[in-house]
Order: sequence, then structure tokens, then C-alpha cells
Amino acid sequence: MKASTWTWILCLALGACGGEETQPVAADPPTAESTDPKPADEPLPLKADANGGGFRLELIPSPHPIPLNRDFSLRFRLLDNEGKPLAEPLKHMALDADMPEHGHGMKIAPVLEEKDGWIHASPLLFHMPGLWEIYVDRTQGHVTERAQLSFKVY
Amino acid sequence: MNPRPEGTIGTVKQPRPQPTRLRLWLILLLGIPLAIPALGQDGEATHLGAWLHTISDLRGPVALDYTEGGALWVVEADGNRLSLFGPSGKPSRQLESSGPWLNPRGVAVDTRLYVSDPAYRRVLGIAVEAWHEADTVVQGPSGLCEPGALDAKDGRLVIADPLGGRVVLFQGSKRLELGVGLLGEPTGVCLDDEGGTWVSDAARARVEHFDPDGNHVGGFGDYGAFRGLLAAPSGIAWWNHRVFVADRDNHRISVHTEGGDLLYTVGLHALRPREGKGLLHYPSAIAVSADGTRLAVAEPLDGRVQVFSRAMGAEPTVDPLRRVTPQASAHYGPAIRASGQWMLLVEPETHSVLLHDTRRDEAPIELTSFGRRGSALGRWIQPEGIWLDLEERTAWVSDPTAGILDQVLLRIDPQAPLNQHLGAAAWVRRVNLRALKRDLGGVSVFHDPRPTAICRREGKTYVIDRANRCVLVIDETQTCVKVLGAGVLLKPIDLCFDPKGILWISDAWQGRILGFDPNSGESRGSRGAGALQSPDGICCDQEGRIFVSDRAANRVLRFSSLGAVDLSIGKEGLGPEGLLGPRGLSIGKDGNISVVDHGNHRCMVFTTEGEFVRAFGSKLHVRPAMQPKIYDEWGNKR
Repeated sequence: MKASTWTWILCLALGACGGEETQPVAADPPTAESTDPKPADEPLPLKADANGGGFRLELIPSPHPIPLNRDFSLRFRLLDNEGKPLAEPLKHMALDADMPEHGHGMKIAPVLEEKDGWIHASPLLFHMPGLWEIYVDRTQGHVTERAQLSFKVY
Repeated sequence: MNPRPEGTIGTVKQPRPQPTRLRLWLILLLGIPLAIPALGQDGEATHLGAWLHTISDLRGPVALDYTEGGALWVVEADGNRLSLFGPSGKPSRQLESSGPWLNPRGVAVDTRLYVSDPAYRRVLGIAVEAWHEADTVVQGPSGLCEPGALDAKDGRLVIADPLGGRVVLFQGSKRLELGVGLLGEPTGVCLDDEGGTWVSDAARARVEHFDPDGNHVGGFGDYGAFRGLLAAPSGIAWWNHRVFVADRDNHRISVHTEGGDLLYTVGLHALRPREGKGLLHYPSAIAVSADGTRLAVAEPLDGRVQVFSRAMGAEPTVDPLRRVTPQASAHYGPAIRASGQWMLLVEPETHSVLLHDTRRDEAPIELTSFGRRGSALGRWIQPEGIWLDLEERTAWVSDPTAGILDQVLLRIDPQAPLNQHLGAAAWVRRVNLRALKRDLGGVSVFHDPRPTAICRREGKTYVIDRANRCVLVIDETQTCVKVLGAGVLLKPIDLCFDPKGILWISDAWQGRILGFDPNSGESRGSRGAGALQSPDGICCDQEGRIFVSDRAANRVLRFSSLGAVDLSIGKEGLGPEGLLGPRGLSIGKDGNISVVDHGNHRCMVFTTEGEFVRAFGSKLHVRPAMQPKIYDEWGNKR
């Protein structure tokens, strides 16, 4: 086999390994205003309005981009429509993730904890490549509203 | 197609030794006296599973029970009657609708005949010889919501109350409520010889066991199609420490030990239209005779009861190599709604809702489906009512079992080229009507709401609450601001507005449709008394003509704007006019009326003058309508 052929195989192999990392967030309407990746010590939150417009969501995954088939965590908070954080009891909130094109979700259920004005969720695991959606549901009385963000994971 | 052994449907038959030529001659010469010992060599006939005969042409058989002598009482809900059949299946007696009940739903035989009468939220005890008058009227300690299945044994009476989410046990002077807070939708109930109660819970795909004091002592089951799993278990029977479960959506009878281990199954899913002889289609109720030699299975959609006897050979074990029940095409319904070029349909088996585009002249194209079984946002136990608004790109879906109303955003551009849009649905909100603490629009109601059919107008949502038999009016803040029809409606099914703004509601038990002023709640008359048997879906065209599907009569009636019936569409069958248990109706952008042909796994489209346009859905069921020159009325090739 020629040296150039080996080079091509090596390049392809390296390319395939590189594909294990996720792509940055890609949001579908009506979800996120995705932000550019920032240094790990100054992550900017991803933002989305609730699908019914009742509140706003700020969410920071860690690590970011979200890795494929590796545990990750995130923190989020809810804001009113003027941008003020909502002091919402934890029991009124739920977080889940789904692959809407496949009709299934994660194989694990994250635990939610409140700390420093943020709600921390861990662990999460996106075990398949493709489009994932993270849902944050807020219940007030008899009504539950949802905000969501979309992620393409490779 | 694989050959299917006769007489051992769904069971494993023990190999029978080949008779020698000499014995064959002897059997021929001497006949039965020698043949019986030959069969006896296979061992004792110990398990139920051999198809024996079918009692056909019944009108919606929904419940049955054996007498001590082996005769079979069958409740024919659509005929409002009870029928008695001898051990051979020969009809011997009928108690007609002029009896004391309005709409019988369950039956149990003990010292007297017990009949549940859900329309009046009660159970009647009837001496058969004087059946026209109930001698006992039974109501639960805190009122029955809609009593369904029953069982009675040795002075005990147990009543399933599916909409109330509980079971009520009467034992002498004791009255116990079982499973409150545990059961979702108890559809079947039976008593064992030791005082225990067994309950099948269709919503939770479980069987639960209660001791004689009403304490929950265990159960088994989970949702799924594989053997041992259950999908909407409905009827249940107990005999000799065996639990027989009518596994309705898996189209089979599962036989379990009391500990929940699967012993064997009876029946395979009928794939072709009207298949029988041991092939089942939505078995909904079962009964085992007192001597354990007969198993009767009621199939309301096909209007029949199949009777199985004991099969020869040892009790079978589950064959791990046998294929799982084949998944035939799902049914549509009950609901359908159209808005512009879009059309929304419920698919009950997949617990999902399908969005179609009707832009083409041919069959509609499925754009996306959303929802699956579960309780979290984005999932339903059983979606039932739907509403669609193309301009807002929004769908509304109700789940009566969970008591919820969901609003879903459809992220699809209606003008985009036809394509599949997987994952296009985004949940906006969920309204949990049970959290309203039974305070609906200033009216205190007794039962947890069970929202079904939905209609929206001028920002308000009108949703039928089956448990409280009324229409809830919900404003844009998701607050229930009004209740319509309370105390008037008995079994509201569907609703629509006519061009004058009158709200029309179909009522299956009253056999008519009723009109209401949506603002004042005052009556605006009724239509169809005497013409409709079991009105179901309803819709109205721009001329004010009202179309109503009559589920029990397999037809759709059109009422003129003056209220007279001026057109009948359809008859029982599979051809271009064929319908079986029609449910929801909707008028599309092209002015044609789409009918959910629920029992035939398809949707039929007619002009408003009743001319057949097209059918779509299961290929097997669509062919006889679309190609009548090739297939006859029953789907057989000419």
C-alpha cells in the first residue's frame, strides 16, 4: 500500500475520533438564542422563552459542547419576562431530555438541586448522536408550562 | 401464511401419537366407542384454549357471565338488552330495553341477576322471573361514577367504577372502596373462592389483588406487547387459582398464576377483517364457567362472543420460539379534526396523535406524529379528544385517564413542500383539571374530571367532562369559567358549533344531540330522538347542516338546518359505503366529510351528499372500498 493511502486512512481515523465531540448548540424555533462558546470559566447561558411565553429559561451545560455518550451536568434558572430571576420552589420544576425524531429520551433521570440561585441537574447522558431537546417544565397551580432548547450531538 | 393448527389457538398442543392403520379401520368400523379411548391417550383435557363455537350477530356485547348450569348471560350494550344462551350457544331468552335499566353495561349471576346501569350511576339486583322490576338498587358509599363490570359470588358483590378510579365491594353489611388512589381505570373485576377481589386496570396495564378486607395485597403486569405484558387489560376471571385476563389491545387472553406468572395465552390477533374461530379482535370481557370447562370471550367491535373449551393434553407452557402477536395496522379514532389543509387524528394503540396534510387529491400525507405512552409532559395514557388550529399552528389534546388538557405547538410551515417533520411538536402547556379540586367554574362537582372531546371558539376551550357529564368552558388563563349541560347530559361524546353559534353535543345514552347557548347555557333544542341509536362524532357545515355518526347503526346521518334527517351515509361493511363503528367526523377544506371508520382501521371520505370519495388507512381495509371490482363487501377477492 502506498504511503499516501496510509496518510488518508490516518486522516479519516483522526476525523472519526474528532466526531466524538459534540457540535455547539443548534436551536430550532421557537427555542434558543444560542451563544458562542466561551471560555469554561465564563460560560454564557443559553436562553429560550417558554413555548407559551410565560417565563424565560437560562441554561448552562457543563461541559459545553455536550459530549456524546458521556455524563454531563447543567444548571438553569427561570426568569420572568423582564429578566428578573423567579424564586420558584424546586418541586414545581422538572427537567428531562428527548430525541424527538426517535421518540425516546435519556436512559437516566437527573437529580435536581438548588444552589446559588441556580438549579443544578446531574447526571445527564446523551447516549446517541442526533438532535436532542432539553425540556424545563414549570408548574403553577393546575398549569404546567414548558421551555426547551435543542442540541445537535455528534 | 403459516398453517395454524385448528383447535389450539395460542396454545402449545401436545403431539398426538399416529394411529395405526389397523386402529383407523377399527375406528371406522366400531366408531366412537374406540375413538374416545384413543383420544384419552393424550392425557386429560386440562387447559382452556380450544375454540368451540361463536355466538354472532350480537349488538355490542360488553359483558357476560355464566350461570351454575352453564348458560351464558350476555349484555348487548348497543341493543340495550341482556341475552341468555344455552351451553351450546343457542339463544334461549332476552331481557329487552323496556326493563328497568337505561343502558346495561355489566352483568353478574348469583342468587339474582345483577346489572350495572351506568346512566343512572347504579347497579340493579333483579329476580330473573320478574325482571321488569329491580328488587335491589345498589349505589356506592360515596356514589358510583359510572359502574361497569361486576361479579357476584356467595353473597358478595363487587363493582368496577372505571371513571371513579375505584372498585366497590359489598359483603353483607360491609361496603368497602378498593384501590382509591391506586387504580387508574378499573375495567374488569372478579371474585375468587377465598374472598379476594381481582381487578384489571386498563390505564396502568396491571392486575391488582385485594384481600377479603379490601387491603391491596399485590398484583402483576406492565405495559407492552410481549407475552406476559398487558395492553389495556379489560375483562378478568378467576377459576381454580388461575387468573384469566382479556388483554384487549394485545388481542389475546392471558392466563396467569395468582402470583402473576404467565401460564399460556389463548387467541391470536385477527389480522384480516372479521376473522374468528379463535382469532380475536379487541376481546373486552371474559367469563369462565363454574366447572371450568368453558371460557367465553366478548368482542364488541365484531359483535360476537367466542367460546373456548378445554384443549387436549397437558397444560401448556409458554413457547419461547413462538412469534409475538403480529402488530396489525392501528385503528384511528375516536377523534378527528380538520383545519384548513391539515387534519389531526388520534391513533389509540400508539397513544399518539397524527397530523396529516390534505393538499393532494389522493390520500392525505402524514406530516408528523407526536406523543407516546406515559405520564410526563409530552406523553399520554390515552389521548382522546383533539382540536386543531392551522392559523395558530396549535393542537389541543385531552387525556381523560390522566385528567389533562395539553396545548401543542406544531412547528411546520403549512406552505412548505410536503415532507415528513419528525419531532415537529413542542409542548406549550398542560392543564391538569384534577388539580382544580373539583371546583369547576364555580360549580362543585363530585368526580374528578375526565376531559374528552374538545372544541374551541373565540379563545375559549369547550371540553366534555365525561365523569361529571357536562361541558367545561376554559378561558385563555386556563381557568374553568363555566359548566354547561350539567344535569341534562348523560353520556356526552362530541361537540361542535353551528354557524349560528349554538353548541351541539351528541349524547350516546339519550340517543340524540342537544343544543345549548354557550353563553347562557340554555337549551336550544335537540335532534335525532328515535333516529339515532348511539350518536358519536358530530360536525356542522357552513349551511348549518349537522352530521352525526351513529356508532351502533354503522352510519352517518345528516340533519337539515331545520332539524330533519335528510341523508343517511353508509352501512355495515367494508365496501365504498361500508362502516363499522364510525366515530369522529370532520369537514375539511375541500368541503368533504371525513369519517373515522374505527372498527375498520380506516378513514372514509364522503361528499356532504354522501358520495364516496376515498378511503385511507390500513391497506387491507382500504382495498375493498377503493377497488370494489376486485374485492367484495367483506374484503375477499372476487
